[in-house]
Amino acid sequence: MMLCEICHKNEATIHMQEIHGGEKKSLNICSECAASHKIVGSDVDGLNLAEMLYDFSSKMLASQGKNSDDSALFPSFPLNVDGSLICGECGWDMEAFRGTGRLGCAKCYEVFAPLLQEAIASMHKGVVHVGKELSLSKKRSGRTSKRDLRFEIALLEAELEEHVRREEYEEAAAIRDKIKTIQAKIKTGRKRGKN
Amino acid sequence: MNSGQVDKLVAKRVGWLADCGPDDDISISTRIRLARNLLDFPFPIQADEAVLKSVALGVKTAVRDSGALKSPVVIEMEDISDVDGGVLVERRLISGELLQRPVGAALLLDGEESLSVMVNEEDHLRLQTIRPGLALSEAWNAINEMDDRISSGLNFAFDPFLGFLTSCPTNVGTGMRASVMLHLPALALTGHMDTLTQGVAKLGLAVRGMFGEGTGNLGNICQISNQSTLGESEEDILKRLNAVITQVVNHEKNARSKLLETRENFLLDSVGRAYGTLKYAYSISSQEALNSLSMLRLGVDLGLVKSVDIHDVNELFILVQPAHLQKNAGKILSSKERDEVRASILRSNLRRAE
Ligand SMILES: [Zn+2]
Ligand SMILES: [Zn+2]
Repeated sequence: MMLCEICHKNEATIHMQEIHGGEKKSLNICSECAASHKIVGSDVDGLNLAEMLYDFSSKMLASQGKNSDDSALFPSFPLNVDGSLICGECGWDMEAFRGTGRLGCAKCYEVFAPLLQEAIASMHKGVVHVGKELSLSKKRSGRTSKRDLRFEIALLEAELEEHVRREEYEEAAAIRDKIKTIQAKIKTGRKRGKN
Repeated sequence: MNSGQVDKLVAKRVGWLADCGPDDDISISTRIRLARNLLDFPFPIQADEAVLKSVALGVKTAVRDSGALKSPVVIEMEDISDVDGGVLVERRLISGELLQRPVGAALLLDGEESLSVMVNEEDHLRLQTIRPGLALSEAWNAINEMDDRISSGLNFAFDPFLGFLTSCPTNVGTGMRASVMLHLPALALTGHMDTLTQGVAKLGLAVRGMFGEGTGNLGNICQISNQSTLGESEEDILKRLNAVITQVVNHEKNARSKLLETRENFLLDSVGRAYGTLKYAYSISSQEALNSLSMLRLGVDLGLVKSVDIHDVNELFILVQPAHLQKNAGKILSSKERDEVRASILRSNLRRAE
């Protein structure tokens, strides 16, 4: 018996294959997971792995109605002529993402974040990186890690306390705003997978 | 020049098979790969030729300057023949995918075949270390250090929340894929491979054949690797993998002693027939050769066959594969010719070994 590669619980009864850059990739899943990914019976053969892992249909629609309720979910990235997502940095679009399940550049992780979140959660043990960080020497390039951000908050909080103690409320308010901005940065970063 | 580099490799024993590792009768080798990308360039899948070439140049320069590889060799995929490419795949130094991307694709390799970097595969860099036996922490220390050195000269794409950004989201986070190649003939003989595969999958690890997906348990060799790369530290992933491998190795050991105790004749018969086939056949398919080598290897491990050295058997697993056969023959061979050349190599190597 082969286990379903999505839930790792049920027997995999649906076997899909895709030729990818000359390499054959396969996905073996159970009928339940197939159903939950909106795959039915005879449709399976024509679909690819990306289609299985990412729930395109509903999210595509959502992206097109982005000016209504979903503006929070879909930040203001440029859209393709047909209204679908496209990466302004490298030109990777919905169709390319759909066809390969891969991304075109680092920026794509922001652009396609709404589609990636669930898929990443189902692929991995967690959704936040807890492993190796880039070495300290790399931090000067302006990119900051969540560890840096938390450290920054800790420093600012100490400063804030000091101002409050000295009853310098204007300065204290300014620092409080700063802290809020960083906290929002951490939060949106967690939500959209990028700070 | 490049072809000469592959010639030099073929003349040597396979690095990760040459030395004895701990527990190497069952755990054949340990491999760790790290996926890394440059922040300022699109991933290879979306890069044009000019970008691929400048990425290749930048990576090669940074790797050379970092001193991460001892007496490094550079092999450009553009310059090598199909057979040479196949040889590199069979020695597990590159993936088949690297061969599919000829522009700017290269292999950087240290003199001992233990550390390497694939350039412009699915990601800009795939760092790799491969060593004999079960040696996850040793492999991690080596590749971690190589990563530190190389990263000081390059601007890696790293996100505070998602970790190292990779072309495929299945690798995001640590970008680490660790795998151990295991020889499990007794579990196969006693019909336990399916149970094992299921059990391991339940623990979130993947089981694959030695020769890629869909090859089943050819030669009773499989690879167990981590699936998840995000939400767990490298050390935790490796600990979990190590614990599972240790259990699998124990199961195999138990299955071996049980076979010796209760079905000695069956075991002797299986090993003896395999040895005979390898020593006397004049034409042998890849599948039959690998399965027979597996039985012979079991016989050597258990001390049933004393005249053959385990290293010679290990080496034959690689030498009987198509690209090595053709490289050593010095020409392209038809499938029928390969079966004959394979048999002849097995005959002469095993007689020499005795
Ligand atoms: Zn399932
Ligand atoms: Zn992009």
